[in-house]
Amino acid sequence: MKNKKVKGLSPVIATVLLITIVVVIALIVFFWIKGMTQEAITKFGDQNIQLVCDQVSFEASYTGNTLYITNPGNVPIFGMNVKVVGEGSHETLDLREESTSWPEIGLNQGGVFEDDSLTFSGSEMVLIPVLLGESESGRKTYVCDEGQYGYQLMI
Amino acid sequence: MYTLIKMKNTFYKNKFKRGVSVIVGYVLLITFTAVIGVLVFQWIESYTPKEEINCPYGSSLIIQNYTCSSNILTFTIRNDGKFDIGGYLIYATDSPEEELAVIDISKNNTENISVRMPTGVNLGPVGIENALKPNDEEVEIYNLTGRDMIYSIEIVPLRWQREENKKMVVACRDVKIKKRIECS
Repeated sequence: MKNKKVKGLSPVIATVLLITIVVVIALIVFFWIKGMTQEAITKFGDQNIQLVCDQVSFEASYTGNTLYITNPGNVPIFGMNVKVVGEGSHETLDLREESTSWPEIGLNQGGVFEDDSLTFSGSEMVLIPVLLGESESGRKTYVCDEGQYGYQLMI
Repeated sequence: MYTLIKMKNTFYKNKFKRGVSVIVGYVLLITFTAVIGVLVFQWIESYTPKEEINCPYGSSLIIQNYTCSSNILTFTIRNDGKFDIGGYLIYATDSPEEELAVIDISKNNTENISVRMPTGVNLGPVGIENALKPNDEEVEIYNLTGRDMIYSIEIVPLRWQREENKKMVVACRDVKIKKRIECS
């Protein structure tokens, strides 16, 4: 008799409520955590730009105070950082700012860069490619890892 | 007697012990699993390496022979690979010690309609992609008037390929050819 009067939810309603609550809480937590993580920069669609650095192919030489860079590869190089290493110090220059010869849209496939007005004080330089990718907040540049993709030249 | 009292105390302790309802526990478990799964999927998906954009293995061009006379450089380019080639990039050096060819001489090609923008040269008839079939050859003529003496040329073959549903020109950087040439 006591059990007949005990109130409770129908199992169907309980299941629906369970699923609904799970989905709602999942969405809330998802968007909250997503806002805390660093957004990914992609290139060529949905490929992470860090992987695209692997496909960058360029050649460079520094002779007679002239810096030459060619891009015979398939990845456009938006910019180039030049890390000049001297005795006990180093400085990093952005070719886009240091040189008026650097193309505004970057060094595309087959492009050649040449500049004889740059002076470097150091014993060697490392050229580090900079790529342009897409992120949720718009276009962003990405500097490829120096250790893996830097191109070393003696000054 | 002591045992009975101990059992009674344990019973009361367990009866009033607090804990999360089983239902709430299930909800939280499923929620966090789903959220973490989706986040990890999104993160890993962008790190999945895609196939590198490159020419198929076996693509190749060679320079068969060349002549240089009165600033006119003439050479025969031949497709000695297994795949059609659409064009090439061409660079020259103006110093015998210079290893890197950086002078773009594509604009010096005498056949203006073959010159690509912004750089490079098309092979074969205009409008036909990858026109140079295996074993085909083509004569290229460059007018180097006004240029310093060149000591070598580097050629990078180009192919039209469909990559990710988009047609694009791909440089076959792995099969670049270099030829010592003296021409002024």
